[in-house]
Amino acid sequence: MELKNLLENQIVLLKDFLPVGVMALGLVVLLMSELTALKTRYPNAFAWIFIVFFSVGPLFVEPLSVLEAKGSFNILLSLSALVFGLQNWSLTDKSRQNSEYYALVGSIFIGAYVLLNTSHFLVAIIGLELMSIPAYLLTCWNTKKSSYEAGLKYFIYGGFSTAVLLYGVSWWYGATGFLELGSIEVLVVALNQSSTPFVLMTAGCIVIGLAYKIAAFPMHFWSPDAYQEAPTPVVGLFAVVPKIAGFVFLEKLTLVLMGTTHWQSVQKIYLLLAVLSLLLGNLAALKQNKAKRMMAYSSIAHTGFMLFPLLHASESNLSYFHFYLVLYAFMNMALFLFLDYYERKFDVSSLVDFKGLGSKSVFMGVLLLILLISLTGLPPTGGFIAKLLIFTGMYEGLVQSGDLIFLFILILAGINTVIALFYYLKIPYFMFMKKEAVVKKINPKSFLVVNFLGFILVFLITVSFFMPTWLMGIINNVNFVQ
Amino acid sequence: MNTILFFLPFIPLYAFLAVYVERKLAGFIHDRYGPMEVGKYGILQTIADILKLIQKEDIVPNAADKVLHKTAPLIIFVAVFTGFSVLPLSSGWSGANVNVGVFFLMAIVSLDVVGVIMAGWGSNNKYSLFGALRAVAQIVSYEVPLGLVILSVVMVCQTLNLQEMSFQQGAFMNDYVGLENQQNYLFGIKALGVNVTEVGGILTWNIFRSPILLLGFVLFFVASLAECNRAPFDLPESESELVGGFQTEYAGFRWAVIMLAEYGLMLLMSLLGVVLFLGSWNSPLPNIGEIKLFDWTSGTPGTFLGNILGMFWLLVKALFLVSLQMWARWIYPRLRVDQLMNLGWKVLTPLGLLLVLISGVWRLLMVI
Amino acid sequence: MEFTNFISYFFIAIVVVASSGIFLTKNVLYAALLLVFSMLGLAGIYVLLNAEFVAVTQIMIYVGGVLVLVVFAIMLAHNYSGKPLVVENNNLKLGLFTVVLFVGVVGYSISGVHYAVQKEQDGANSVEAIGVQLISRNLLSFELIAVFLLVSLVGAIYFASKIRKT
Repeated sequence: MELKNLLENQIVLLKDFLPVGVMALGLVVLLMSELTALKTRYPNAFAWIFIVFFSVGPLFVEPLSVLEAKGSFNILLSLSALVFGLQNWSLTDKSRQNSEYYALVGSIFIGAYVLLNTSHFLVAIIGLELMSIPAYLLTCWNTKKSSYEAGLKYFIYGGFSTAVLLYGVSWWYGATGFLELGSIEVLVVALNQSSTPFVLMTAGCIVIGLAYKIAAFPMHFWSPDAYQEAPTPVVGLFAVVPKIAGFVFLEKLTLVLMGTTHWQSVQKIYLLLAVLSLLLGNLAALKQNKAKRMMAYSSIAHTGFMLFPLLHASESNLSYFHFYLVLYAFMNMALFLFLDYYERKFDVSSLVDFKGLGSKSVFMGVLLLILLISLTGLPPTGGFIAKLLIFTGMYEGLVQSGDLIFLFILILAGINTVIALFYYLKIPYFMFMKKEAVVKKINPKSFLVVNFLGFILVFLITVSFFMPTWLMGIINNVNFVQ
Repeated sequence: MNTILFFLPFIPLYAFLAVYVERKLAGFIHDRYGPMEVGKYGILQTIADILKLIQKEDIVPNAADKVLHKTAPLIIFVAVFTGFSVLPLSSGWSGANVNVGVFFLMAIVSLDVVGVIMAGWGSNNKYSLFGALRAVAQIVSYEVPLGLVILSVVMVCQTLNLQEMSFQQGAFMNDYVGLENQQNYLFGIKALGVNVTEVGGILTWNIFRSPILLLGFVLFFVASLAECNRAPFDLPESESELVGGFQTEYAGFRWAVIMLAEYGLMLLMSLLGVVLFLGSWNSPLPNIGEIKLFDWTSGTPGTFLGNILGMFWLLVKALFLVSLQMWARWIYPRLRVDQLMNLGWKVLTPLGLLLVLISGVWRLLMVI
Repeated sequence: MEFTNFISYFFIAIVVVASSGIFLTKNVLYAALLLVFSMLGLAGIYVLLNAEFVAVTQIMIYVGGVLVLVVFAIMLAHNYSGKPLVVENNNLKLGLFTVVLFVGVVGYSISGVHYAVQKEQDGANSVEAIGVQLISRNLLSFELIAVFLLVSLVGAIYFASKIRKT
């Protein structure tokens, strides 16, 4: 019987489903354990379950044969799950001791894993939605009016951009006859037969749909509000997990588009998105007085920066891109760890609240300073190396293609790094230069785990300045695409 | 020739009788006579009622949304009647040959509630609106267990085509193109080794081919009561609290059309139940050795006699189910809204899911 | 004109008229109900494309969806009085400009499409083929959608219960 054979094949294939299976099992275990007395006996049980399933799950990196392309940002994903779990581990906040909280976050991880490892549009869209729906709900988690507003904003943009993405994908399917991005040559031949405006529209729709997940320019409106309102550990996820997944998928798309004869025009979409994200992110961040909101705009600016290497996606440029992506992930994980720490210990939300906190906890203050320097992109931190590599890549692009766009990017990116300096250093300025105006509430709880994690992450970021080849080696050893 | 040509005249006739039967049945259950005045045993009562309804003025409330109010009965009626088009009547007289038959039927019938909400909103009456809101909540909820039960039948039969399902449930199975090599075993367990393909009758009905579907039939019946807005699930038109529910503001012919559609829906659901579970147009009598009861009572497929006998069995079974529905109306009290939702989501839906699981296993037993 | 062509134009006309009605009408309820007609027209087009299953699924899902939408439209407006739920058409000029721009750009773009010719597989649209696809090649998507639905349910129930408590 034909069906029986198919089923038998599936059982053989099942081991390829292992990572998703482990994570989905984690989801079920989380939800089921809500029914038991586990919660009352061990308040942190959910965090442990989460860590066990979701930081181990993505490590079964057996390439999913259905998903074709393998990726090893999975390790980053698992690390992110670990950081998130530990960050929530010490919480006493009731609303975050629910299994639902971890289940929704877990779904973000499943979606990200799928999106990272697929090169199939259909699976990618499901992955995107798996990340999006829980994200809307988590944005509303504090059940305040403002968080509902943020969640609704996020939801409406999400729905709109998914529609745009689907529209683009359906035209893509019509023109190429494939939903997989695996066989680049075939796709390029098919796309070359269509006119440039058509490819421009199709690619534009798809890129803009993805731009929503990576919070690039035309689809960034949700991010400041969502970052402001969501629980801070979750914001750390929003900044890292969907962004990496979205970028990796965008990279796969770019590799196809790059080969077509329309690339000269399609490139302009990327350029527009990148330049505007960068400018808007940096300029808007200058005006902010809330820490998380400012970081949302900073994240938009970083998105702009990360889009540059895709304009000239040579092999070396792509590895620079990966380097930046990994460092960006480290930096943002650490950043929101610190913001969460300050928020919970000193009840800090706006920038002014940081006044005089430098003397309260010198160790964390110095670590945060290093981190912010790294985010700006100054030595002696990994952020500097990452930015330098992007500049190098752009210079290569200028030399190789002789396109003046790259010169323009070089100048613009340089200016923006200077602008970024102004707002990133506001926090250390308040912390170390200003005297404390009012006595702040201090939460006496121990934050040992958070301190330790923050230290490790900042240490890694600093190390990558002195030994960039080490991190680069790891990144290049694992084959990202294909 | 499509079966709709049969159903179109048949349904007014059936509704005419059904209304009478329901009244008489109610009377007997209440230990009274029911209508007795018009004609012998009140047999002409419905005709008198229809004449009265047709003469009545077509009242549209002044503040009503005229467009919605006027089109709503139409939509309800059309949705129900389109459903009949895919039902088979006999071995030689199948409905529209739609491969997604039963699925189409479910989709089209769910359109019915669009008409209900149009009527409820368009009437500009709070009773109507409450009735319509209840109808939506009820039908959307009960479509879930209904869908699950139908899914389990489809899993056992491996087809969505209602005519193919019908052939599977009788001794004529191998006459159907595509089913030539299929065999029916007692209780659907091949390992038992009792081949009942040629025996037919009740032994090959779906509730016997896979006895777990007996539970499915009960679920289906309960869910179909809810889908038809029949008591004990008649919350959308509960007379004691909502006057008449969504149909409060309708009078005359429009109201008659709504009632016709309601009775039509009862018949449709019963016919569907018969096709899915009770052997469709197949005779219930099995061939026992030389006593070919099945063959004698079903004629040859495709011939005139075959068609007539098929229609006879189908309609007898369906009308029996309709009378069961009427019976239920007079012996059970109406549920509260929360009880209705509890029953739907906490009892029927889990049972439906269980049923799907077991049916999958049973299908494996049927072929292994 | 061939008969199937005529039918398909008929369905397209339904879709266009109903969809235009959705944004031309000011009554929210009409808009929701017109959506049903638009979806029915689309289902008709799917049938003409030999995708019966998709067509029926379309009706099935959207009727339920639209009904919930209507109920929300009624309940959110807190208006049980039967007065039509009216929305104003703001930004008419800007909207028209956007529509013209959109139609122009998309129309111009898609005029240059070169469709990939797909070999039509026998019975590729049949329910059986879809079922086999779902549990073989697209098993992962299928299972992921299960996870997706679970998570949506969990989230919805969590918020519903939380709002009730407060």
